[in-house]
Amino acid sequence: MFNFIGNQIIFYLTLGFLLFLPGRFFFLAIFGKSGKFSGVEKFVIYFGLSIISVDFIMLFLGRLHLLLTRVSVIAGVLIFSLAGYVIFRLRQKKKPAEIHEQKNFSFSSRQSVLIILIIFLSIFIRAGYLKNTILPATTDLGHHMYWSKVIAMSGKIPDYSQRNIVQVNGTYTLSGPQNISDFIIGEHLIFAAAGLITGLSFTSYFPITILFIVDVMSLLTLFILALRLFEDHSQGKNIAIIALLLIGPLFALTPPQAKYVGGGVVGNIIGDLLIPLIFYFFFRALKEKDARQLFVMLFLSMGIFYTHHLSGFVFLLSLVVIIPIILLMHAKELGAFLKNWKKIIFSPLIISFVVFAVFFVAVVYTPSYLRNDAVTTVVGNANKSDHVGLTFTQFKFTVGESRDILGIAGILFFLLFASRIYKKKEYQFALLFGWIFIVALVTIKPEWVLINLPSGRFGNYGSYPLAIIGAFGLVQLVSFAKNKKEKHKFFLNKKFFLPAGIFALAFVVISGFYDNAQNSSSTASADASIQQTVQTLQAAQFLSQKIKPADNIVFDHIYVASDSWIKLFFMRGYNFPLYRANLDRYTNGVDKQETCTLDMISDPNSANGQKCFNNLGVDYVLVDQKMDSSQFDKSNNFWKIYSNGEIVIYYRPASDKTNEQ
Amino acid sequence: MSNKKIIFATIIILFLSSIFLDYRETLQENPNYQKNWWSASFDDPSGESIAFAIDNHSSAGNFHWEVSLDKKNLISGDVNVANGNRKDIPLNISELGGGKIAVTVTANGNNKEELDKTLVK
Repeated sequence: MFNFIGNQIIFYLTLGFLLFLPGRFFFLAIFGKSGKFSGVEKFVIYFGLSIISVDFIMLFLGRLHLLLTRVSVIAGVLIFSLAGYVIFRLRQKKKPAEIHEQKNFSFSSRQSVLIILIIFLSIFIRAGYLKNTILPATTDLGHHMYWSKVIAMSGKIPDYSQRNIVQVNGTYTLSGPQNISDFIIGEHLIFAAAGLITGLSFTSYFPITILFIVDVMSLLTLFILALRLFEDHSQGKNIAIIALLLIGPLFALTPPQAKYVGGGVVGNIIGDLLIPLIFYFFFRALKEKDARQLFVMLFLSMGIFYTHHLSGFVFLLSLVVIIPIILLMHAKELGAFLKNWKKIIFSPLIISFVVFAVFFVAVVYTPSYLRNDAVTTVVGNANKSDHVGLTFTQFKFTVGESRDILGIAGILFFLLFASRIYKKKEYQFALLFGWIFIVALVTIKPEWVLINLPSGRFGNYGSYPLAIIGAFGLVQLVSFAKNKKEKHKFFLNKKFFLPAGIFALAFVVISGFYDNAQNSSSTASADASIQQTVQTLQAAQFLSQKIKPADNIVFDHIYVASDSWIKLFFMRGYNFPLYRANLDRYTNGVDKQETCTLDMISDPNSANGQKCFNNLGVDYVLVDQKMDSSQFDKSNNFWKIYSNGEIVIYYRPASDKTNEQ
Repeated sequence: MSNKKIIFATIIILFLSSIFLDYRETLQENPNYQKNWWSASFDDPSGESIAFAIDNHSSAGNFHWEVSLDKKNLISGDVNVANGNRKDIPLNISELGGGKIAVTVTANGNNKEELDKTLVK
């Protein structure tokens, strides 16, 4: 217990240090003690800026060939923060602090209570789900934590590569390191930093706790974005509060919320924090014509491309729609508009950012997907069944049915007010429309834009813009029903309107909570899977203590629970141990170009299975006892050396160890 | 002021929830806490020794083991292993001939795990 308390103190101090301090001083350097931001805004912005700042600090340290250790990471963050403070003091001497009045960020007592209640429910429901999934078990998180552990153990920025099984002159062998484009450095650095400083195990609570905090902060990011977008709207605060309701407690478990947290979908979780934050600064830069806001927007945009290319892609494609709409809004005075922006873009701050970005990409660290030319793999027709697009109905359930219906209402109001939006140059509608349009287009009709990405994952991005558009739609529906001439009368009969309003709200809330209930897991099934995970990890630990450097292992991914975590016990390469993948991956023509891993488990006594064992020097096999033990039990080629009721491990004594990993 | 209340409430709720989750995880990763499983394993997986160990994370305490050669019982014994404990069974049968040596471990008379090695002499 004392050990737990001690670890907790160190862990939360570390989180404060990593996820607050660098962002706080970065913000201070750029904006000083500006009154342009409310407390909630700063709270959220510090967090987002910190994640990206820590990434860049660690990449710089790596480029300087300094080992990433507890001391160097702490020193890096402190020096960065100190530099931010020095810049702030120097700028303060030149220019006194600006005073700005807040017009949209003070809430009444009732509103405050409502916001806190929504936040409480949002966190409570997520925590209720995560209590059964906090044990590190999921495939994605296992893969990500392998790389974070590589960074922490080696002290270096990793080279994302693996050794694959290839056939040379009729003999199976392991290739040299081949690039992997699926991982991006920003998905791993923050966990590596936390692991280095706290010393906690990567197979502990800390990765999911960090994701949980990021997810909750993404809700607040959407909230501050909605507040800013509708700061001039008479119901702006109510729109933001309803948006918080639609993204927070409702549909709280379905992807991209708690299920992505528990599932360790790191890139999407961080992307869903960064996208609204980037749009926040984008909107303010547009509206306030402020180079500093643009600078932070660009900094965060660069950060998203170092963290998750899919999220970066969502943002970039959205801009392709948003910018033409904004230019159209200024069609009558386009010259003056562009001239004004030319001044901002060619300001010293933005030029210095461009220099920094070019230097960083060229000299410090080039994202792996650029080096591997992986961008071309996302362009073209779908090459996998889950890339072909969703139907509209599937999209509706992906983003949440009631949220989708309210969102459609909101978009209809956009169209209804199109003339006013155009005349008054209300950028927020261009931004929201571009954002949801791109998400819906790529999700439903990827072939129209030749985007080859997982449709479901792309569709999940829709829940964030739809929460704001849906909130706007709901507020507008209520306003629309009011008689404008006589303020307190309604177009519709009041006797009808009140129950109809209650019915609509009940539909939204019940639909959201019903979805939560559908996604909950029973305690009994959770307990069973927790035990299975522990049995897998214990078996892996046993094996890691027994194998010799020349030994090789194959395990099964299909039936073994939490199998992706097995490699964290060996740390001998991303593809060590070898594993049998889901069966469709051997036949889809894209993923697996060999069948050795399939044959060694499904048919170990076949000629090819035996050849694979011999050629690859595989000595140990780890499989599920119920599903895959019979083919080994009936053979004299394998010794059953470990059994725990769930996992069995076999040893094959006759391996030819000519291909060591 | 309302901003401070919101920030403060968020930090407190988030902090308490996170601590709760962290504590849950430490219980869940404990192989003994609310678990019911045990394992049998050879001490030397790749050698000819048939010394083995029982790792108990279940409510069963009494284990019976048998060693057989080509299904012919050679030696057997009983051992008590408390929950959370591990017991090594240091068998040393040097004069065994070739054949399939099986170690069968039974917990409380019903739950069974088997290990085996096929030795060539």
